Amino acid sequence: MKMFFSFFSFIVLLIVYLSGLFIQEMSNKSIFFGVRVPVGYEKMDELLKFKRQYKRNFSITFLGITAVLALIMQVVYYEVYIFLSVGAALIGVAALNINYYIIHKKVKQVKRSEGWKFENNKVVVVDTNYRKKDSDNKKVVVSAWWFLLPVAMILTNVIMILANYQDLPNKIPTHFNAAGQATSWTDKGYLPALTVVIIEIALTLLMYGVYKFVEKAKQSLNGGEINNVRRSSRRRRYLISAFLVIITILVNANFFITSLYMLEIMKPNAAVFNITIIAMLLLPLILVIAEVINAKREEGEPSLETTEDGKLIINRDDDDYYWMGTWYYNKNDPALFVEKRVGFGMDFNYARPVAKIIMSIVALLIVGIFVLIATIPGMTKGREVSVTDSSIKISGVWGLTIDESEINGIEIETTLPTILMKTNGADIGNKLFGKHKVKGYNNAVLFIEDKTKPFIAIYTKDGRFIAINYVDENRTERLLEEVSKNIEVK
Amino acid sequence: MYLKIDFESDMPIYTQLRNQIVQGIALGQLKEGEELPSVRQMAEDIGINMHTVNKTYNLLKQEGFIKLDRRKGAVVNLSFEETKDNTIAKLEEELKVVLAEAFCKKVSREDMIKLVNDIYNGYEVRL
Repeated sequence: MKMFFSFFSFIVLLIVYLSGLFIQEMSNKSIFFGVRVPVGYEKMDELLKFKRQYKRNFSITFLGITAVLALIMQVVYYEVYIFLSVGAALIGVAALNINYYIIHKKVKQVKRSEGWKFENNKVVVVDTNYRKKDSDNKKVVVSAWWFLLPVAMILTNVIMILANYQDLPNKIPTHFNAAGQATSWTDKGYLPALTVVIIEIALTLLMYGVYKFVEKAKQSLNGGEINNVRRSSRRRRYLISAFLVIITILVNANFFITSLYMLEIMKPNAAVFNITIIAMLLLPLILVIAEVINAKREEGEPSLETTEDGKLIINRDDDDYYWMGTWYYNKNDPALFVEKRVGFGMDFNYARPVAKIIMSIVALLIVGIFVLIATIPGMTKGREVSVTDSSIKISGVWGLTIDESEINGIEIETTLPTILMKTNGADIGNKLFGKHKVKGYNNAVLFIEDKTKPFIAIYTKDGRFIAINYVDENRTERLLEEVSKNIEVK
Repeated sequence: MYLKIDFESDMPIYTQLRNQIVQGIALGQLKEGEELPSVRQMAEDIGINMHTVNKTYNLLKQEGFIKLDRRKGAVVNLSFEETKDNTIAKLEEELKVVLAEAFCKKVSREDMIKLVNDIYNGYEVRL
């Protein structure tokens, strides 16, 4: 497990590093560090010097971030590796942007002092056949029929679940960890059994929506000879759409395997499960590398110049519409989705209200996750279980004292009752803390550090349920011994 | 085909669009039955208001250059209902202005006829 999460962190950071290192290579040719330059100027010695400077500075900063992450990883549980590496990746993205911005400022300075002139500066060219099949028989995106594959998987999954419903156990596992072991269960019912399908449908619809946006996003034929710009732009969209389709298939395959485990058609198998997850991780990496190779290859390719009236070069200076040279903000443009000019992919026109709302929600979610992680140490702080011959006292957050006379039974258990809702608590990864409503009891107070491990369950006469465990099973065992020595259940 | 919109031109954008599509049809860059992008898509691609594109499409529809198909959207059309006499009467009005300018600026009749021939040849090669 630890290996797996370390690997995950490594890949996430590698993706950020490579996209940062090759950001200029992946960007539109006539955009140099977020500044529109006349065609061919990107090869000027003065500008190339800036590029080397950026690559060096970014690499040094990134090395620093990686080192700090590696140090922190030495002292924390591996469960938080994912959050840590995502956090490190976000800091990496911030470092990328800061380094980029420093060079952006310098290039802008040069542009201003030299007063560069642009070809067809106020002209917009659009192609009426941009999204249609070309001479190579390819559309701007891969065929939408590919989505039939995930749809077929979902349908098979529904049929499989309904056909096996009678044989399902009374407790259905709903969640599996990377090793393929069930980590939570719920009572049998059509809704819990089909939850996996509902998630699959929602994700597939979302991915199809993104695919459509890649197709429909504004064409930005700018920054060079029109036929070459068009070819390169279409090639990028094709690559991105293929990436989306493959990710959708992998995500569905992953859920499909989870269903096979749930229905006990297949024994949980860590290898099979991990292949889909590792593939999902490696895919963005492959995408970045493919795009860098593509861009390099394009440089060496003969250019297309077949416009009716000869060579048509479009290079519109649109710097005013890009914040920090990167983010498109144009109130007069009705387009919501546009092509990125820095890096590659799709982006919003942030002047549109819809874009503002979506970005606010994303920002809130990210902040929320970090607030949650920041509270983890606080939740276990001061937690101590002291046992006297008449009571068990748990101190710290959600702490309580249970008198010997209240106790109905003390058992070592492996399966938690079904959790109906969290009333005042926190569930992160395998940790369950605080007050919950659970099936069969008036209320439950959980001090579970790892829900995959056995725990001590204390049942009270007034129908309460208290559960305690530690990541270290031996420590749980020692606590149980201490409790049984001192407390006599009547 | 490529549509080229000049934002600094004195000619309104909807007229630029209309003229380019008509020329595109004459040059064979737009074939009969070919679908044009939807009003929304065209507006987003160029970065202009949807009303502007709508105006162009309505104009082209009135003139018979496109048909609005419920399923396919705007489709290039070459079978005009307009009679030849009507077309000539309409073009005469426009040509009068062009020729007036040519006459004032001393462009000879022969040069103008040669120009018309050249342009027509360009169209006929492709159609």
